[in-house]
Amino acid sequence: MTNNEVKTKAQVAAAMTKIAGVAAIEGTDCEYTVEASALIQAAEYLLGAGYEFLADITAVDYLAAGHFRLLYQIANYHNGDIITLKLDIPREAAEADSLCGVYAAANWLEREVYDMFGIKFAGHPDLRRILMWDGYEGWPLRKDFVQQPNKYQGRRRLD
Amino acid sequence: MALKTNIRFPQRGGMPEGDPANTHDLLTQEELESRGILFTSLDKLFRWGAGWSLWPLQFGLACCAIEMICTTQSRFDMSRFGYEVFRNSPRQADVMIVAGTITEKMRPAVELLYHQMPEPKWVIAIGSCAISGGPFVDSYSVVAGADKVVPVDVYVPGCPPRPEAIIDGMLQLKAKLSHPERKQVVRDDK
Amino acid sequence: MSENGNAYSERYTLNLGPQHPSTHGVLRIVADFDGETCISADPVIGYLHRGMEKLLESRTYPQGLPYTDRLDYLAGVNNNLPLALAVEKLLGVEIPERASLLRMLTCEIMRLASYMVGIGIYIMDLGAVSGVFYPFQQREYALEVMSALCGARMTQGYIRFGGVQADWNDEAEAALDVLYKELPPFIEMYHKLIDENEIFLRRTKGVGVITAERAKSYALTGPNLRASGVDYDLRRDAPYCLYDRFTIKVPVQQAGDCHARYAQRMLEVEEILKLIKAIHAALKETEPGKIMGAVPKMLRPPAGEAYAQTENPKGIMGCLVASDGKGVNPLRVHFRRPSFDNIAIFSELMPGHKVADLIAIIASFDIVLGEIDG
Repeated sequence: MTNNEVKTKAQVAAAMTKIAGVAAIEGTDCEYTVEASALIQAAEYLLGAGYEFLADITAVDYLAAGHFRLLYQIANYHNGDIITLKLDIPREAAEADSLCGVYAAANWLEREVYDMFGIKFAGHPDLRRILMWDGYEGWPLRKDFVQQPNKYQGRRRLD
Repeated sequence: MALKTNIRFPQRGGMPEGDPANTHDLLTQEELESRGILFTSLDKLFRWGAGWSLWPLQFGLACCAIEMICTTQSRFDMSRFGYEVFRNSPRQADVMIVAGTITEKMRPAVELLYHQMPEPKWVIAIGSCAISGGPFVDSYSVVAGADKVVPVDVYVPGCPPRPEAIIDGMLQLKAKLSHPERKQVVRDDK
Repeated sequence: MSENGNAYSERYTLNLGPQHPSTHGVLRIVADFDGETCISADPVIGYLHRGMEKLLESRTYPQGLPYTDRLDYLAGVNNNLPLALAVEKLLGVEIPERASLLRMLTCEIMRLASYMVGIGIYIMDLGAVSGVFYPFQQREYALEVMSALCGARMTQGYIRFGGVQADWNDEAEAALDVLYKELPPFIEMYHKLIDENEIFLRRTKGVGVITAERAKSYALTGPNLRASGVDYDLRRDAPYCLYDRFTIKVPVQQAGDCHARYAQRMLEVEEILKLIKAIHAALKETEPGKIMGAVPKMLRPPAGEAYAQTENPKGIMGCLVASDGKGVNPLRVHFRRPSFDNIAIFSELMPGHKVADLIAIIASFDIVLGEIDG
C-alpha cells in the first residue's frame, strides 16, 4: 500500500464517526471510544484505510470506576499517525471480541491481556496463558490481585 | 611453610639406626622444592587442578549474562583463568554461574539443572537479582535469590557487575577451592 | 512411513530450551518433528517474566525509570526513552536542545552496541565461533563511551524525565574518537570474513522467508521488517526528539530470509555511524550545561493516558502511561515490546524447516528475552 492510499486522520475521523458505536474523543484527532459491538467493524475499516500495523493491545484496570479499559493502538507503515480505540468493559463480565481475524498480531497481544487481566476474547483460536504457567491462579495485573506468598519469595510490597 | 620430612639416605649396609630427629638428615620442603621434588596430598593436587579448570554451565538468564559473555570475549578473556569452555550440558559442567533473575517459572529448571550436574560442583551467583532478588524482589513472580534454590558459593554484587568484578568472583571461587578450611575467603594470589 | 513416503522417519516432540546455548536467553520452543522436518512449533515464554509492569505501579515515576533498562538490556538508554517521552507528553514539559541531542547520541551508540551483539551472536549460533569476538570488541568501544559519560556500561538509566543525567565530557569525546577510528576497518573486515562464506550462504539463503504481507499482519518492526521489503523507520517517518533535523537513510532488503536480515543489519551499522557523526557535530554547536528541563521534584502528571513510540534496535518500542492525576505512582505502565511481537510469527514460520534452520531463524531475529517477558 503506497503512501497515497493511507487515509489521513481527518478522513478516518469522518468515516469512523459514521460507524454506529464509535465516538471521537473531544480534544484529540485520533482517539475514539468504541462499543463492544463495533470493535471488529472499526478494526476492519482501519485495515482497509491503510492502518495495517496493530501496535498494541493493552488494558487498564480502573478499579474505582469498576471497569477495565481496553486500548488498541493501530498505526500504519508510512507515517506516525496512531489511531487509539478505547473500549470500556465491566469488571464482572470481562469479555471482548478478538481481532485475530483482522490482524495476526492480535493473537499474542490478546493472550497477554488474558494472562494478566483475565479478559476473555471471543473467537480467539488459542486463548491460554503466555507469561505465567498454565496452572497459575489469579490475574496479576488486576488492582485487587493478592500475591500468593511462598517460601521462595522475599519481602512483600509495602501497600 | 617449613615441613620437616623424614628422609633418610640409605648407606652401605642398610638404613642407619639412631635418632630419627637427626637434623642433618632432614631437609625442609623448600629445600626439596628447590631440588625439584614437590610434596603435596592428592586432595590438594586435585583441588589445585580443579581450581584452574572450572568449566561453567552456560546458563545466562538476564542482563548479567551479557556481562558474563563480555567477560568471555577478547577484552576480558576469562579463559585465561581456566574457565575455558562453557559446557551446554550440565552433565559436563563444574560451575553453575547463575547470572540473572530467577523467576517462579524458571525455578524448577534451575533445580533440575543443579541436580543434573555431577559432583564436585559449585555455584556462583552474579548480580543482585541472583543474590537476593535485586530490584525485582517484591514481584509476584521472582524468586528472592539463587540461594533459595541452590547452595551458592560465591556472590558477585552489581547490577550488572563489571567484567572485572565477575573475574574477581571467579578467582574467589578458586581461592575457596584451595582453602576449604576457611569459612570466609579473602582472595590471595595463590 | 513419513509424510513424503520416501523414507521411514519418526515423529517426536523436541524441546528447545529454556536452557540452551542458542536461544538468546530463556526461550523455550516446543516443536514437533517428522524426521528432521518441523511440523509445528510453539514458543513458550515467561521464564524471565519479572512483573515489571506491576512493579512500576508501586514505584514513583523516577524510581520506575531504571527498571526500563532491564527490558532490552543490550541497549539500555533506548528503553528509557519511550517512558520518558510518554510521561513528558502527560506533563507537557519542554526538553532543552542539548538534552535531546544527548538522548539521540546515546541511543544511537547503544543501538550500535546492540547490533554488534545481534550480529555476533547470530554468526556464533551458526557455528562460526570466531565471528563473535570482533563485533564484541566494537561493542566494548561503544560501552567505553557510555562508561565515560555516565559511569555505567550496560544498564545506564541515563535518560531522565526532562532531560538527561550527565553532560558530555572530554573522556567521552576521546572514547568516541576511538570508536570512529576502529569501526570502519571492522565493517570492511567483517564483510570480507562473512559475506561470501559458502556455509553461511547455504545456511541462511532461502531460510525463514517472511513476505511483506505476513510481516505487516504480524506487526513485525525494526530490521526484521525492513529485511522483508517494508520501508518503515520511525526516526525518518515519525520523528521524535530532534531526528527530523538529520537525513536518515534507511536500507531495505527484499528477500525476507535469514540472509536478508543479516545484510540489513550490516548496512544499518554503516548508517548508524554516519548518524552518530552528524549528531555529535550538532552537539558540539550547542552550549554545554543545559541538560534538564523544568521538571518538578515530585512528578504528579495530570490524569490521562499517553502512548509514545520510539525506534529501538529490536523494533518499535512503545510505552503507555496511565495516570490518575492524584498520586506519585503511575496507575498503569505498559510496554509494547518489539521482540514479543516479532517472535509470534515463529509458529507460522518454522514448520517445514529442518532442525538447524530453526537455530538460524531464531538467531536472525535478534531477540532479547528481557524484552519478550517484561
